[in-house]
Amino acid sequence: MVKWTEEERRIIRGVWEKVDIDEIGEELWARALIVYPWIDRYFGSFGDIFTTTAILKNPKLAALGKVVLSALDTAVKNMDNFKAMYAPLSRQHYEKIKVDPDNFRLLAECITITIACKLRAELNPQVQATWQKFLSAVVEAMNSQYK
Amino acid sequence: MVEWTDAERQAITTLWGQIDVGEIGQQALIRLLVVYPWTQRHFGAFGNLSTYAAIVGNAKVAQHGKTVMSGLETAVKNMDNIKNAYAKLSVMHSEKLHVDPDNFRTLAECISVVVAAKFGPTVFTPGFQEAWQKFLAVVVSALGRQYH
Repeated sequence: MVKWTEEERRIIRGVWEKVDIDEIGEELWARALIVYPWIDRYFGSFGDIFTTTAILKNPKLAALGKVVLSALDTAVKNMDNFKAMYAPLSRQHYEKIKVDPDNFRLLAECITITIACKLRAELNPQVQATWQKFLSAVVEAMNSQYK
Repeated sequence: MVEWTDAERQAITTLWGQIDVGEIGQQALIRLLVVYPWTQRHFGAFGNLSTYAAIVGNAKVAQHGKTVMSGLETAVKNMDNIKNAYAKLSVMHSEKLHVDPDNFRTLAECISVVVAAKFGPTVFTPGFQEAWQKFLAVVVSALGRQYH
């Protein structure tokens, strides 16, 4: 499991405090589906997800955004052992949803861009480095049950 | 041959028109060196990069960031021929500088984060992000193209 300094823990909490789960949850799907459009293959039953306007009004995506960010909240609150806590989620994505794990990295990038837009200069280089270290650990945890 | 929609061309020229190459370039290179510290190995002649403060205050980092970011102007002005426009620069990075081409993608990511942080969500919309990242991906591909 990844080791965290007190400073890194403080930085992650500081970033997370500024995240409005509803707001960020919607915007992150808009970025992921517009910038990496092949991701729409996982959302066949979600209705219209093909323009930014449609994505931001789509209730299923809004709900899923909340689910994803609640899972990230779990990681923020359990920085020392979320890898084990994520095992069932990883297994679900591998066996049931059959998500190509490269998409975890792409979604993480979209989360970082969304947060950069929100935090602006507060996402300075040191904060960015710590935040990306955290997301890398989350991506690794999501990959953990893939064979 | 890369195809650009009118919306994508407009997004690129709009963003480029608002980008200060000195500011964005310096920030992007600082982030590359801080977030991906192994990249410091390419900058042995830059002096002190041993701490965060040293990197942020390093004049050679600032200057080189500006140089790299200014290099994107070639792509903005030659959007339909980026591959050929960067052929010589690609050879130089491969044969003289020995830069691992994976670093081009990493630096492109850093540039995108800096642009997002600078412009915020009303300018750096999902549509603009798509065009910008596609643009950078084409540049990254062109820079890696002359590697054997």
